[in-house]
Amino acid sequence: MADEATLKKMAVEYARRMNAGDVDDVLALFSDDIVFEDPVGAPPLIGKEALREHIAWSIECRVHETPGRPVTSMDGRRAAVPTTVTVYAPTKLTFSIIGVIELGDDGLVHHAQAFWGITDTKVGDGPELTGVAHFMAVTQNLARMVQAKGSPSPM
Amino acid sequence: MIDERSRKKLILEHSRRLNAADVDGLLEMYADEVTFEDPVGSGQQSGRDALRAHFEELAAAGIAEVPGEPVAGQDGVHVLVPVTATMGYLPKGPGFADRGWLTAPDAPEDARITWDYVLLVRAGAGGLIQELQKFWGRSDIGIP
Repeated sequence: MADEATLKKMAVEYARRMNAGDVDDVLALFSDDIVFEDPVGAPPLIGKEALREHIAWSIECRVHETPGRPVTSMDGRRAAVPTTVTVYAPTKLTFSIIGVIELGDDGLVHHAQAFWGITDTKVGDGPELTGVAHFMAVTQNLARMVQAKGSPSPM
Repeated sequence: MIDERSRKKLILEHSRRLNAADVDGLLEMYADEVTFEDPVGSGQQSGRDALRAHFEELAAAGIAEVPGEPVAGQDGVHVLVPVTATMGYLPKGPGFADRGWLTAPDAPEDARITWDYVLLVRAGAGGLIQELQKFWGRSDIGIP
């Protein structure tokens, strides 16, 4: 069991390390058997090697995370934090997410869930799109992000 | 499967009915086989009777929820929202104090609790809520 301050720090520390852009530093927060759901609803990533690829990809997309106020639980295991996540490549996308993490007795994250929907995603800096136009713009840009995966310089 | 916008409306409507102390209206939003945990880690409860008792206490305390921006899962069922709330210390506070979640105030009749939590809802067929979880710990509640 972790104390509440430690749990909350963990949620914020993840954002700090993502912003610093060091894949190994980020991975050091997770257990070997990590189950990582991003977004919740997609097949979960299981294990650190699967997660390494996902984190490296996010950093290639120049991710920046701004956490809000974390809250915790009464079991010394779970914390939830609303976070604004922006990726700047290949296109600027901004996601409003709520992350839920669960720590094990080893103080590492064993389960992480990022809840965000298509309606929580904003494309670029332009005027807010709505309805079908918004849905199409988001899904097309998410597809571009996936296509950029593994390519040397996603621009 | 319920679309994202409908789920977001559902969780905001839940806050609206709670703030209006509309317990019957709240119960109409739930499936019969509902489970809930408030706070997460305190043990799951189930059934509409337990849920009604829970909401009646919150309503009696004059709870006022201010929800932030809801977010939706891409699983067709989940929706979450960060909430800041205040409510009277009575009638729920002494139960919290007994469990060591809160320090009992000198003047319980006048004291108000301030509260930060994240509400997680899972909705199923017919847009009815099947599960409610409220994430908060000792450091998320207080009497200013």
